[in-house]
Amino acid sequence: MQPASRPGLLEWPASWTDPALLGLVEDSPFGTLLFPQALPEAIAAPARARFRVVERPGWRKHAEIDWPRAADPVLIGDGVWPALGEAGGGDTAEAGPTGLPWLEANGWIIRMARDLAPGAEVWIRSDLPEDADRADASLFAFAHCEARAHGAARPLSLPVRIAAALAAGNAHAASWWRALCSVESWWRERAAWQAWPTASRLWVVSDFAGPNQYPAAEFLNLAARRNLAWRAALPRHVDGARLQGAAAVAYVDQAPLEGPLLEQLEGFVRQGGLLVCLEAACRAWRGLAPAGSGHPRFQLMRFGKGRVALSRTDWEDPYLMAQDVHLLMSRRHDVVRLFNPGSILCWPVMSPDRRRLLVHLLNYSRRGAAHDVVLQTWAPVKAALVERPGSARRAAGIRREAGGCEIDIEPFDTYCAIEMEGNQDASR
Amino acid sequence: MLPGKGNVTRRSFLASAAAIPAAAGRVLAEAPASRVAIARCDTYGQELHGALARLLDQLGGAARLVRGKTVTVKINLTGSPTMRMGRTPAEKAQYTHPAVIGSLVRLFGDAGARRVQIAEGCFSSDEPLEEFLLAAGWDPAPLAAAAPQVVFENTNTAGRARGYARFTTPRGGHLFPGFDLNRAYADCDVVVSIAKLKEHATCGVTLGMKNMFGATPLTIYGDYAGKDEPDETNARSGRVMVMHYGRRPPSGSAPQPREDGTPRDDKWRMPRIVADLAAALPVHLTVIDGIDTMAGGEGPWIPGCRPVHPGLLIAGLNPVCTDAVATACMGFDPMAARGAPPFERCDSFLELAEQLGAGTRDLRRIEVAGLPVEKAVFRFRA
Repeated sequence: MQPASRPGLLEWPASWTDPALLGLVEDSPFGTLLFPQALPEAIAAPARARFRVVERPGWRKHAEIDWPRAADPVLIGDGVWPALGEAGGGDTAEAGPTGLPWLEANGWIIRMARDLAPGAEVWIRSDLPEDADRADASLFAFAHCEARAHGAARPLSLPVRIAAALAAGNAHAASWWRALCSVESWWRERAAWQAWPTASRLWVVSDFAGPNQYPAAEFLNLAARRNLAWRAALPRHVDGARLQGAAAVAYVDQAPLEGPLLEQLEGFVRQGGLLVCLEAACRAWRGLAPAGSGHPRFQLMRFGKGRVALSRTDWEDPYLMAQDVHLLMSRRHDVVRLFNPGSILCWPVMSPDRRRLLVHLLNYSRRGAAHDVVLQTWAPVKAALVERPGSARRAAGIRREAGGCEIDIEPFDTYCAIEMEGNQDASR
Repeated sequence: MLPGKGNVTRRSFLASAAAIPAAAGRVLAEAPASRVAIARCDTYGQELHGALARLLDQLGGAARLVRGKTVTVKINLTGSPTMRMGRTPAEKAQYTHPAVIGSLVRLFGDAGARRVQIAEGCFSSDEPLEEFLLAAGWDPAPLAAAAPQVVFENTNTAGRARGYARFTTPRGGHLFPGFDLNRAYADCDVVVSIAKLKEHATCGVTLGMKNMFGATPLTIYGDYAGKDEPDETNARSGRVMVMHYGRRPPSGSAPQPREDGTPRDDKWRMPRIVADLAAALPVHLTVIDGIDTMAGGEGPWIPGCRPVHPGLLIAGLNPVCTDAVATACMGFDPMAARGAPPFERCDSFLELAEQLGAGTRDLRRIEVAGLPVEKAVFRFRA
């Protein structure tokens, strides 16, 4: 197979000095080899002939990426190992400020990168967990699925002992390797999903730089933790077409709105949209009329058919900011909701023709949920399919309840996708 | 005029209640009795509206209760909106069903209610009630459209009125001599409790009276309530510290419980708080949704709970009488004292409320309209 048809990334183990090991990888879905250090001479020529080779990849911290000039691929080097929080583990999971179990998740970083560097590949890596050598393949499969579900690639880093055992032909290591190859192959067959855009009616606009970087990025992080999906955009990328169908825009930056961005957002609000921003950002906006003062943290203004919510203070608490934006916009615009979610995060995307809704479900506990999980959507659903690596695609039952269409999610350990077909725009 | 209250209006009653001196004793001559109506209703579909209308007619008619009045409707949304008992939607287990709420609001609107306020102290939250409903997967729009003027109020904070009203417990109460509540319960003429027919871990059963426990604002009675004054920024907790266990007092601005030597045991405290609330906050109509519900506890967090289908609606004008009949419909004896089902581990709030003169629990004194109790019994401990 040509490297281009094998999109998987493999971080070449430092202990692998025998070029014969390239043969092991050649029959796998991993067509790109990453060499954290200089490429060993014995391997260089055959590797370059048979693989896409990346030497000393320039991993960056996501906060340091200059998004308007981001490279392709975007290399995010400060991902986290996806899991329950450090104190996590079953019911003892550490609670975060959300009151929910703390989750180490990368989905928001990947989605941010994909939105801010449209068209570019996104690669993300993190250090392996401390007990990686003792971990089973499902731990790595989960990390792999998390990246793929959000449209990125995570290089497979083999734990030291697994790499050595695999090189020695150990059966357990070979089984471990085949499991990961199987997961990557499964995703390769679903490559089209990676281009499906987020189904959300919220846009988050910021330059994601300087003093705006932290509140903007943390907003994305904590909104995702609420299972509130969003799309992110740089100010210069905001235009009418992009905002079509949006219900709300959160403009995070301190810089006053002006020029084309102001015009675009005025048009958006005039047509009925909601803009949430700092009070100082709206200095140049004319014609705002007070619309009640019932909110403790925002001054609500009316403009045309829409509203502008002006934060009375700076973004001091990103958790509160995510909650406020969600509620100001209203949960009415949530595309899907989960019941008994536990440690499951979901992210909805839609097909380019907007007729199919795909919900990625990632279980950060990596154990089948203790309670029955139910997915609900307002939109009428004609048919639904369940997809999981290692299982055949099959139809899901749809129930009609007071709140809309519901699909029971059978317990799953790591990743599951629900693809729904409806009659109308999947994002509404 | 409110049924059973002579010519006393709600507002004048509240004003005068504060002037009632605490009685030395706890035992009253005879607590009032009032009619309770029971109906069989198998689904939340078309038959529901007619069944509720008949219940109200059997109690004297909705118009007599609400015409020209502002009505506050306290619903029951206990626990997180995303938590379910298995795959059973909350409205078919722990929450009052939106169809019951909507149907009653429509009946009130049709009967001439001037304004309907749907109220609840949403679980650990100060978010708008409509948003809480959406989180549960409900659409609040049909509820808002069910009567000419419907508003929603999360009563965990001061809310729209930006202030609280004091409700004084007659005769000083068992534990709380009074409560400070969101003004939705004072700036109205009629209070309605729409509850669910359920058992309860600390009160034996939870019906119309226990439903009103959720009226206590978290800003005053929550775990992180303000020390001296209500903290309007911190209504995101439970009521465990102040109410269940008395480990800290409510905000200093509110009437303080008499904690001298009282047990810090929720099975002693909670029934008394429920009784005190029933005496302090007059509820003029109680409607209990027992169509689809749960047995074994009040929410999916109780181990061993299960969905059940009693297929019942119960309504009454006196909350103690209504809860007593509902308790009997669940297969329990409303006269039971601590140690007997359903009060094996707790005191009986029915008995405690009766002692405060809020109403009788003696079925011999309660007239039952519609389905007789013996035909309505659905044994929750079957």
